[in-house]
This record gives sequence, C-alpha cells and structure tokens, in this order.
Amino acid sequence: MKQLRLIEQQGVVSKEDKLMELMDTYGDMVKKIAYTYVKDMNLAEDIAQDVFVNCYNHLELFKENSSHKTWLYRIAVNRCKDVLKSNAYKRFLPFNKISARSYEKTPEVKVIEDSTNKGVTNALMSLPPKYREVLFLFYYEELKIKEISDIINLNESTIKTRLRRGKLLLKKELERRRIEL
Amino acid sequence: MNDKDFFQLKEQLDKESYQHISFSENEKGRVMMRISEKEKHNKRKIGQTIVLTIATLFVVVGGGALAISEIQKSPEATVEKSVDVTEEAPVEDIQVNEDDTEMTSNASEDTLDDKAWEDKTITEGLTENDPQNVQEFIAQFDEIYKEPLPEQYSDDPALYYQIGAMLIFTSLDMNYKAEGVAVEKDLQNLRDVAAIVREEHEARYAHLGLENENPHKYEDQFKEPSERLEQGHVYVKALLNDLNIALNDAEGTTEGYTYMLDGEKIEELEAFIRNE
Repeated sequence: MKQLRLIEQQGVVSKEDKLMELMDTYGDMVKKIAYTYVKDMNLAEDIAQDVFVNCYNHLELFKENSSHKTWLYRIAVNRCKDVLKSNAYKRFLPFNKISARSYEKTPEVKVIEDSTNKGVTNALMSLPPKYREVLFLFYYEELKIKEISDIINLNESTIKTRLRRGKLLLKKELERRRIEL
Repeated sequence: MNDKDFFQLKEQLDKESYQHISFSENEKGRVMMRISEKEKHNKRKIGQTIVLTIATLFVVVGGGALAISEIQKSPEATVEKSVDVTEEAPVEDIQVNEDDTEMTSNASEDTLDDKAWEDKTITEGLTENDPQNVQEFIAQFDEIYKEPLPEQYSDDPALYYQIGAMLIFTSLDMNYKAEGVAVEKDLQNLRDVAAIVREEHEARYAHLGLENENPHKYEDQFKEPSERLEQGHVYVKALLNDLNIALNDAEGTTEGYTYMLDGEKIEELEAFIRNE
C-alpha cells in the first residue's frame, strides 16, 4: 500500500483510477458473463460489483502474466460458480424482499423481460451451466479454446467436448422452439 | 445447422438481450462506495484495537497502583473513617434525597421509554463487508457522507447524492431495523428523505420519455437537480450526523433533526417530507 501511495505522488495511476479504468473497459463484459450464469439481472449486478471489489483488493497481486481481461474473466467465472453453489442462490426470489415503493426494475431488466422475441437467449439459458458457459465464451466472447481452458481451469479436450455437446443441445432446443439462426 | 449458423449466435443474443446489458455509472459508484466503506471499517478496527489495548493497560496499571496504595494504608485508620461517616449523615438529607431519587427515576423512566431502543437488523442478504447492525450502518454512511465528493462526480454532484440515497433507502427497507419510539421515527424520516432524493433524481430524466433504455446513457440531457433534491440531500446528511451522535456517541455538533436527541428542527424536516 505504501508503495502505491508513492506511485500516486509521482503522478502515476492510482489504484482507484486503475479500477475505474478496468470497470469502464470490462464492466459490461463481466456483467454479461454473470447474467449468463445466474440468469437474473439483479444478481448479475451484485456479482459484477463483487468482482470489481475483489479485483481492487488483489490489484497489487496481478502479475501481468495474463491480460487483465483473462484475469477478470477468471474472477467473474469463479464468483458466479460460488453463487450458483450457495444456498442463498437456491432460495433467491427476484424482487421478493423489496417493497413496491422501493423496488424499481432497471431499464435493462424491462427490455429483456418485455422482449417477446428472445428465443435464442432462452434456449441458451435453458442449457446446463457447463454447456452454457463454453458456448457463451466461445461464440459470444469469441475466446479461443486455450483461453477458455485457462479461465475455467479445464483441459482443452474437455472444452472441445462440451462445445460439441453444447451445440447439439442448443440446436435441439432451437428446433424444439422452431427458431432458426 | 452448421458452424456458420452458430456464428450468428452472438448477433442474435445481442439483438435479443445482451446489447442492453451494461455496467452503469451507478454500479461503478457503488463499487467505489463499498471499497471506501471497507477501508474505513478496517481503519476503525485498527483504531478500536489500539484503544482497547491502551484501556486494558490503563486498567491493569491503575488497578495495580490502587492495590499497592491500599496495602500501604493502615487497617485501623480505615475502620475509624467509615464509622465517622455513618454517624454524621443527617436523616433529613437522606429523606430529601429519596424524594428526588423517586422523581428522577420517574422522569428518567419516561425518557428512557422513548429513547430506549433495540436493534432488529435482518442480516439475511448481508455480506461480511456490510454493516451488521443499525449502529454500524449509520456510522459508515455518516462517514461516507462527510467525505469529499469523488472527483468523477464534480460536474454533477446530484448523481452521486442519489446513489447514496438509493442505498440508504433500500438498506433501511430491507435490512436495518430498530425498535424504539424515537429511533423508529428517526429512521423513518431518514428513509423518507432518501426516497425524496431518489424521486427527484428520476424527475431529472422523466421528460426524455425513455421506456426501455438505461437513462444514464443520456445524462447530458438530464434537467438540473431540483431544490428539493438538494435540500433532501442536506437532510439526509444531517440525519446521519445526528443519528451517529445519538446511537454511537460520535463526536460533533447536532443539527437538531432527530427525536433521539430531542431536536428542535424536527417539524421543519417533517414539513419538508410532507411537501408543505
């Protein structure tokens, strides 16, 4: 911490500035990943915030042997998986605790909920998380197999297998819903 | 369906839902607030540890010194002194004191009934980084509100005020509760003025007629914050100050807005809430 303060005094970027920069650059990405895992926007917001608080707490430990992007992906994926495993998530009821006066659906929640044409999103969300995550990271985030393997901490052959099976499942689901890409 | 079809998956997901997902300025502000709270919490813990250590040392040293001085006194002199005191105590004084004591205890019972309170915080949903009870909640927010405005909000401080107001309102609504005549009124007033700040914030972009969009993408088109929003923020800050003094014995000058401290400006605050 003292070293960071010295750096601040020398006019180099502070920890807070660095965090703001990371949030500006990767905030949307982190939230989208979180939404893909937990399928709930409010929870995705909470997770995204947790990710950046965690990031701030460990910023000085970041060793530059991966990019900030990969590092954030990893934190986000791990946080999402912790939430999915937690009991709190299992009994989470969106908007249940919030009174009518205090609760306000954010505009993005309204857009996503009101949209009548979100068949592909729903089809993806209906898949088990282990297929959903690889499909999302590969096709949406356009990551390479090696990168996905580093983030999720599985070997590349497992990633390829899950991609193959995930695509088949998604295809069946889309056909069931009579949706063409 | 082949891989080429799957390459349109991203476009379709964006079109349906993902393009609307963004990490807003509000959310970034909340991250910065959480970091700030945690740092203050850590500093306070260190401070408390130091104070406790000093207090312990004081008690040990002081107790030791007292024991030594008692040992050095002669036993006979101590017995004579206590007998003299007993003989000299006038009966009239004792009777007067009893009357006073009864009156004082009646008055203090009334006062205590109103001011007595109990924490009833609902901890479900709180993380280890969150305040765990009303006292901690008030202390942390009072500190945050006394900090200088973060630089990124210098162009539009009201954007920052409404983040705090929203957090206070939601927190009081969901988690931080107390039972007690005076404290409940004060927390209700705090919740209400926070709600006013939020409502006035929403009024800043109501004219844009946005239906399914994130309003914060249009901050440059927001109306100027109303006087009611600004005044609401002043009251939020004042209530936090007074409640921190009342509940945590914090240092400082009271602003006069709480029942807990028999504030003289409660009517002014409540008239503002009623929009009179």
